Amino acid sequence: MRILAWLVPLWLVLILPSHAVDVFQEPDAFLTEVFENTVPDPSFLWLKGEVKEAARQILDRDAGGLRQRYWRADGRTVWIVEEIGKTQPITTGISIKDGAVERVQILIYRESHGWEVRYPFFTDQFRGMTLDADNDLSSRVDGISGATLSVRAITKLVRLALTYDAFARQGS
Amino acid sequence: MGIVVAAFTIILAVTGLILNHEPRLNLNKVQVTSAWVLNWYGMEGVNAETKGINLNGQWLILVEDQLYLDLKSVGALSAPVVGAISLPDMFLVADEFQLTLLTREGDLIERFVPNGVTGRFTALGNHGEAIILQTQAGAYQSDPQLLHWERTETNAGSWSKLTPLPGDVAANLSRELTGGGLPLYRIILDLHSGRLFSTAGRLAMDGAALLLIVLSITGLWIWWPRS
Repeated sequence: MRILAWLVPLWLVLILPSHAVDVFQEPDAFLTEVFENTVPDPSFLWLKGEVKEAARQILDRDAGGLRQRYWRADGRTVWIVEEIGKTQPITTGISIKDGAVERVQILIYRESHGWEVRYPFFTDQFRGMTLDADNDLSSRVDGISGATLSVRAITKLVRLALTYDAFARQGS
Repeated sequence: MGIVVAAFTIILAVTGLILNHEPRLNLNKVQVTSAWVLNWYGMEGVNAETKGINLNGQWLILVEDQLYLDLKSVGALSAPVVGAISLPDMFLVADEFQLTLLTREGDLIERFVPNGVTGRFTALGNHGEAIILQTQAGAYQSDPQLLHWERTETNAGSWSKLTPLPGDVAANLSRELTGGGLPLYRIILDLHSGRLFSTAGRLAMDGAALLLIVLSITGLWIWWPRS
């Protein structure tokens, strides 16, 4: 009987769906930190033509929406973007300075697994990455065992933000 | 064992007979619209608990984790909707974490987190021309372009509210979601194969078939005259 007292709760934890929302950093706090308290007004990248097509190539789906909001000052652009890991979107803040990744921060995480992607040992490896000629990341991304889908989602988002940044700088 | 096999055999035989005469019975044209049958198939329509927000005659409706503008799906939700208001040429929807702008036709313009706003969002409303977003940290007021948000002590004159749907709106969306029901032929076919009860049903029908074979062979074995 005593072993049942342990096994039943364990079984329940394993089978019950878990959709807790973890806010690791509020998006506004991320912007305030990146821009050191002087957050610029948002700008808009219109998702049409080759921008839309480039986003589709990266996400394997339509990016959704007619425009993407971003923040821009001092050669830096900041993007708050989302991609689904397994079933829920992962909200991620990505700061890009002069075409290279400056910072990646997981802001809101809704999946039940794979939250290891929030840790700096994972997000720091994107620092300094750019897009190569094939629109891939300039360096290899080390995965995390058990968090494959979340790693894939974050990698896509970094490629997307770098691509958006390139279009935003072209348009200016 | 015999009784169990008999029960399954009767189901198999009766449904098999009906399926054999399907063209004459026109089972494909008989639509089953019973709510519990549709729910069993995961075809959930609109029920009494389904709520929406009236946006000047158009309805923003939440069904499970999907959002609809009248009959059009406008995407999945990742957090509960706390309010929605009508703006010139578009709609603004707030969930607990972000705002969504939709065209009046239900196309997504953008999802965004407003600058300078902290705390989970709890309500969205108007105060005259101003847009008021209530969060756990306090109330924020926006300019009409939704670019600048500032703390305010102003309470919205009217907060948008989720309310039960009018009968005709609910009925129209329900019809849209369930496609007019399921053909009776499909249900009887699924009962015949056991698929009506998912993998367990199929396995049960397989087990019953195997038992029937065993019973037949052992019956023959017992009956067969031996010297």
